[in-house]
Amino acid sequence: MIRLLKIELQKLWPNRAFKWLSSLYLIALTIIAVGVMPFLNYLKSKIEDFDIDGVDPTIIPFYEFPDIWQNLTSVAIWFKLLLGLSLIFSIANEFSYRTIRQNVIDGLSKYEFIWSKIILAGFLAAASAITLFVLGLITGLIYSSEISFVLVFEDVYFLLVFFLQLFAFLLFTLFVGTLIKKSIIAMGVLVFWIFAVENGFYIWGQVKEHEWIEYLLPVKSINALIHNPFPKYIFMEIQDFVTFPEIALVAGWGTLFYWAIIRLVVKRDL
Amino acid sequence: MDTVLTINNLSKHYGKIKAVDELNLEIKRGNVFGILGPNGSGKTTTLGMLLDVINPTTGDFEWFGQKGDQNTRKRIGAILEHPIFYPYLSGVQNLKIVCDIKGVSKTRVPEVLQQVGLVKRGESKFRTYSLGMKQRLAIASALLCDPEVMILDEPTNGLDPEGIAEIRELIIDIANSGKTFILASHLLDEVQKVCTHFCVLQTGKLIYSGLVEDVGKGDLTVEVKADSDELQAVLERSEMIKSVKRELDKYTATMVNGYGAKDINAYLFDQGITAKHLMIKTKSLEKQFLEILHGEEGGQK
Repeated sequence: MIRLLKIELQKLWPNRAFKWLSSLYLIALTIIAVGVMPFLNYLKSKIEDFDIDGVDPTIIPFYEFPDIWQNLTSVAIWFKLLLGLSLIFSIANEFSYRTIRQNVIDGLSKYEFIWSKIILAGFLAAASAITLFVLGLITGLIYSSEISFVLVFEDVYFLLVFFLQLFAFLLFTLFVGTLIKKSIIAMGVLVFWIFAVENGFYIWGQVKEHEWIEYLLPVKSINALIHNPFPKYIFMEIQDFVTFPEIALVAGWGTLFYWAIIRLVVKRDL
Repeated sequence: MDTVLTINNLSKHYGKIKAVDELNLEIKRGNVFGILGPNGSGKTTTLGMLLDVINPTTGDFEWFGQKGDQNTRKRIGAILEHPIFYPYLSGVQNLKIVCDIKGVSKTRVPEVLQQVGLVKRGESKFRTYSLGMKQRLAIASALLCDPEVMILDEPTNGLDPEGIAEIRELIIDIANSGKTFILASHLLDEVQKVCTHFCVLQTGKLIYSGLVEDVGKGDLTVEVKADSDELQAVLERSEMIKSVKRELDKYTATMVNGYGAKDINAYLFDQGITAKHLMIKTKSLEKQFLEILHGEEGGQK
């Protein structure tokens, strides 16, 4: 496993597109985790009567333990596309350069090749979750009014769920890359699928009151795993936990993509 | 001598087209084996199946007496068609990835670069390489694991004469070190210079397999020139000559077994003709190859 990850990282690190996308992603995570409160404070200092519905936003406890974990993960997941694009780049290039063929000739099995990409996806998802954990810890310690071991770690499992979301999404992008094999087209298809196709079906489902439609849309199901926590700051009911059927659904999607990728690569002549 | 590769009834069909048709072949350790065949005769498809990148329709093969898998491939150094590397990585970076795939120490990288003469450009990106350099990097990459078998597919394709000569030198060097070699090519001259064994494929079928040193055997032919109008008649009269063929200003005589150029010389002198040109022609692989191909086509008709 370490060997496969090492191979992948050697392919990826020197790649300029990967450097750009992952830097952007890292910056995005940092801004979410650290930057919101300073920004609000800055606005407050510039604008008089700065408020939202009569509430001064700088007193909203976004960054307090334990709520911070759901707040951070539910926002950070919006930026998963940046990671997804870099992974699509990595797999589609293997087909367009035909390096997958040379990798197999040199001594990887087709399964090992696929696993190396899946391990890479796992690595990127884990690295994101860990980064978010560190950033969250720092910010939480700064802004929380009360700090105790229980409070800090009570909802930290949201990071595990966040990892699962990212991992399942990255499996989906690997599937798209394997299916289409041309990096630019695959990226286009991914973006089109997420923003046009899934939203189209989702809205149609809402209008026709077919709520189940959402569960047939992989990216929507993945997004829905962590519910939006922010309405609670205007005193609305939210779901501040993750249910087992929702996790099973996402795990099911992940398994389906894994199966599809294996079929595509193993059956195909390279 | 132990067997390196055994192929049993290997076939690959693309719909109705039989790219490789019931191929059987055995390659022993130490052979330098040339696979000849016109374009589209199934050479690359065969090698692709032996290296697990193309799924065979039927049949199987064994490397080193066991079923081929990723571990047998680690003992093989192979390049199919053109050299394939990550264009945005340097030569050294590319070779390091191959080291990790094959499970070889990275100390091999400078050694193989030295061997193919690419030390100076090792740090340049692969996409900046000339075709000859790409080809040399590919050979370096195949050498990384100190392979028991090397497979090269058209290694001199697209190279200029100097590049071809360089690559050929390299192949002869490596072959002399006693490695088993499988060389697919349509450049017959190359195969004749380098190989010990060869086989001929045509439309996916094996139509000939034999030793390169046997190519020159068979009837001896001698080229003769002389300033005499009777030369042809004199030659045709002789009992030691099977047949005479005229090519422009010279005659090619196919000898009866046991007679040679010396005998012709003496005979002509006795007849009052002085030969001004006398040359034994060894049959080239090219000629043999064309004979085999045409023989097969004729046989089918």
